[in-house]
Amino acid sequence: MTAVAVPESEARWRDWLRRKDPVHPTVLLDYRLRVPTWILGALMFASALIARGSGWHMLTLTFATCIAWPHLAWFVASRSRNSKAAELRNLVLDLVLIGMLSALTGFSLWPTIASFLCINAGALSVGGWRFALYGLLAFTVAAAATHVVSGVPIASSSTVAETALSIGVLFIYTSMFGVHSYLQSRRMVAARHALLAQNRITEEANRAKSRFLANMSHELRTPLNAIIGYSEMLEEQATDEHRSDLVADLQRIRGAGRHLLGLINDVLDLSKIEAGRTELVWETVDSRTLLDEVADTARPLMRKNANAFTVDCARGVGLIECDGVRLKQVLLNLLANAAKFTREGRVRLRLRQERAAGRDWQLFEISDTGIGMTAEQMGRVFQAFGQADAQIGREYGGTGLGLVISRRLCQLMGGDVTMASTWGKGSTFTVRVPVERRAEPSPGDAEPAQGDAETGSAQARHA
Amino acid sequence: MTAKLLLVEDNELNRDMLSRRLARRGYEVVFAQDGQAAVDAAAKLAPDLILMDMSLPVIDGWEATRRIKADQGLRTIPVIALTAHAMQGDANRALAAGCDEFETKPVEFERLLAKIEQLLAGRAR
Repeated sequence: MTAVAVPESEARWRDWLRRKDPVHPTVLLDYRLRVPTWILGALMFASALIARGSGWHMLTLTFATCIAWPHLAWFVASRSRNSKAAELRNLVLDLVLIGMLSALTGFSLWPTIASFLCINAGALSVGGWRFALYGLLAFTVAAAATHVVSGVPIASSSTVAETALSIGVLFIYTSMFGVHSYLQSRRMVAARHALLAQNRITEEANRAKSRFLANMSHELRTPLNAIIGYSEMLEEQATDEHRSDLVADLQRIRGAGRHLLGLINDVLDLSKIEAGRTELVWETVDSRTLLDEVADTARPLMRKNANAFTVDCARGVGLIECDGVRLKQVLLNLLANAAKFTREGRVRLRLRQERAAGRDWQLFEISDTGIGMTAEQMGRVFQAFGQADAQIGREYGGTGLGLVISRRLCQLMGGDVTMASTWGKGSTFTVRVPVERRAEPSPGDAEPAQGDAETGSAQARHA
Repeated sequence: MTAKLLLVEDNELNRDMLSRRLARRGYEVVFAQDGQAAVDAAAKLAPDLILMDMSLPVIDGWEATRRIKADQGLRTIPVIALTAHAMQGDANRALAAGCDEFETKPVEFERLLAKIEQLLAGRAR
């Protein structure tokens, strides 16, 4: 991956971005603009005041204000919690100040125009046109009030000195403004490049991780195949030779092997989902057919604990746009859980459709009359390895990842899994999936995932 | 007459384990360790059924199956693909390549036996 050289100014820019509570960048920028332009502005207004015969106290006040104001503005804004808002207030005060000074000079044309144009540009660039309109209002009100109070007659013609100083102010201000705008666009381009490079690095790392996981799980499964296979074989032999003492132990080996295999598969599934590398295969499915298929697969599970199993489907429920294979996986997982935690009870699978938030949803509801959960257990049930408690894990088996995976898969399809449960009475899990897929493609669709050992799968399933 | 099964598997432990279990159930088991050897063995040993691992050296299981199914003399031999679990696409690719059935690894032995018997019965008819 190519490293991106970052110039010092960009580095500073990034430092600013990283600060927890940063001063808004316009505060510093305006400070740098204010200091030189207000000094030159002081000279400009002073020459206009002298030309109109103002006294020394007026000149002193003008100079003091023009020199102190930029520092005061910086001091207030940089210490304010909302520095952008403080800076906007400063700009209004800028406009009020120049309104007053313009009125005191009898609206000498050049200084008035020069100072107003500069600060108007500043107001537009920081606050937008609406804010600039407020600024114009502030300027007008301050100028009119000062004019009335001071009684300085309007005399708009400017002397050569005023004109020259005004041009100086305009020149300095617009030049600094232009340079800043140039630097800012360069920073933006550099930031964009850096971001793109960073994205490439992240994507590559992500792909490497997925490859590693896929390979690793394959490598883990191969010896596990042998462990499970040989223990099954020995179990058969031991059964034939009536060695029941061995059979029990061999069953434990096989059971542990199967459990480990389940864990490896689930961890791989979950890692792929978390890494955003699970590609859904969207298809239009008749959910009644899907319901029947799921029910057929689940029936033997129900018989194991002698549970009664009923399936019903509300009228008018039809097609749904989803990943049929994944949706089946979710429903089977929930049904297997219901069957596992219920003995000689009832498990019910219901399908209905409802309209909410402007969309149609299909709701698959799996309810049981099993052991149920306490409020505390419910809080953990959707967390990885958050099986209600370790004892339940031992007693009922399972990896503790099934519900997490189910929920994530539903979320990928734009839906969710929710639950309600009462300790000792049973649980109800509800799978909500939107009937129509949202218009925007999921990120997984956009880019071809190269090098992922298992990406062939999604494409092959299209074929 | 005992049925002859060609087991194509590159992993020695899995080959040994599966072949011994199949032998215990009365099948004659012959081997190949890679895809090319599988195609050759299919022609030379005339097995009644082939159990084909999919990730194989030289040529993979999908390609080997395609070649067997493209051969007039061999195409009637049923092929069961043995695919890695969690790779749903592998199974579909296997069926697309011409496999008659698939079983995910680690194999559910009784289910595999049922599939073998069903395919052999279908062939005998």
